[in-house]
Amino acid sequence: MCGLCGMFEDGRRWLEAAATLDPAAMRRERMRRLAIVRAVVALSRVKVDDFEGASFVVRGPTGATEICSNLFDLWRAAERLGKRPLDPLAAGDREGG
Amino acid sequence: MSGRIPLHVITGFLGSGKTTLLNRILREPVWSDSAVLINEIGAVSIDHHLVDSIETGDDLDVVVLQGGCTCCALRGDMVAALRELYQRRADGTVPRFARVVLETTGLADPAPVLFTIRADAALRHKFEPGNVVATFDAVHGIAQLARYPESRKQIAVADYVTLTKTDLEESHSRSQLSNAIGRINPAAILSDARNTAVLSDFLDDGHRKNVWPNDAYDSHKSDDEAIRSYETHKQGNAFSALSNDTYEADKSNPTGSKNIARHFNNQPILSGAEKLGGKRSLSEQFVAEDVAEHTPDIASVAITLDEPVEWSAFAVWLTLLLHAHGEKMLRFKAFMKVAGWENPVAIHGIHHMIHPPVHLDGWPAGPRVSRLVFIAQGLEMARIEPSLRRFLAGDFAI
Repeated sequence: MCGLCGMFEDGRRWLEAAATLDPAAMRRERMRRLAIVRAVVALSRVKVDDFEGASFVVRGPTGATEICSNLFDLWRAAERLGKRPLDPLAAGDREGG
Repeated sequence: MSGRIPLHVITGFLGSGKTTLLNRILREPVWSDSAVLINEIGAVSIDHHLVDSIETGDDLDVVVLQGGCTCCALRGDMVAALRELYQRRADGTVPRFARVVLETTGLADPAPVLFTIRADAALRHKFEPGNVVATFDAVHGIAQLARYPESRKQIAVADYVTLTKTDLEESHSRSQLSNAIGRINPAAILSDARNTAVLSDFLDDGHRKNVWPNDAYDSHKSDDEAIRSYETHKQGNAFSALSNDTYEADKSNPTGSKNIARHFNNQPILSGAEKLGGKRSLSEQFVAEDVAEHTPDIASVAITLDEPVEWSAFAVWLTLLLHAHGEKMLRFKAFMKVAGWENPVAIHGIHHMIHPPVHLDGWPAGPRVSRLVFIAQGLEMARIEPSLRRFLAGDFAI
């Protein structure tokens, strides 16, 4: 049984369930997630950076910045700053023109 | 182990037998160390007296929440009641109960109950969401599903659905009932309230093991338990189909003849007669059409992924989905084949709330693939699978 279940005190860190307790692996996973997140918000002209491995810094096209502790907060901030909804189910519409 | 106390919820429509079920459960010695919360509408706590008069001894602690539905006004009361219960437990003024069982009103939406303990800064460290058990009236339940959105939502979020009043002559057949329930929640575990062996599973404090209906593979269980569990699901739960793309259930139905074959992978659920091109009885036809007509608002989709899934991509997609549509997402369960991990990871949740994933000790029998079920209200379900597949293929832009 993986010992990671104890990490989920805030109910959001389940994201890291597939990582291991190895700090280097955790960092790699976090960087991978960051890369995916950046790709998600790219069309909104929103930039995202990691902040000390604990938070995300979300920066909008005008330079307005917010610090978010988890992805749910990050998506809300990216929508506010990018002024564009983020809906994974609408992505097909984009491609269909 | 988290060390937190599980809070199990018994829900179900008005008159569907929640209190009867609760009494039956609490008569089992193994559950005597349970604290009970009852949420009622109306000034007189009838249900409270029903439970209280039956229980003997001091093991049971009943707190009655009055004034309305759990989903709105009573959340504050619930926080207060749970805090008080915990304090009394710590002080030793009540026995050290091992779990809390909350009986909701017949009109309550159980999801906010679970949110409440997650949202409260104090409670979240002391309690954790347990199982949601919904009672379903074998006589009136199908009509209630058609008429009342509250009833549909209760079924949609349930981990277990227990059929009550199945001994009455007017009750629908097992196949009709499982068909109607399965259209709303194909992942729920279905059982008969008279089967006390199944009742034990409801309040299993290791509830996370039950994240998927077919838990017979659970290596924590003895062989006998595993077999019983498997047989239970096999006989009582047409939804074990999640582990077997096609599954014939209800062969044990005493009335007999109508087996159900359920197909997932986005295929509609068909009755056995339908599948075989046979004729359905009038009552069966009525049930199928009635439910189909009146429940377009709640729909489900089941997805199977053969290839191992990159957890980070899946997790980011899931947060996006719940960010955009969490209010509509009544329930989701996923049993994932994660790249880099030998054993499956199970994860489930209600609305925006995601339970911590569970690393399972082994695979169940059958193909080693990821299986996901989403149950939502007012969401275009056909978009979910293409979206997930696109994401897992590396197309992240939205």
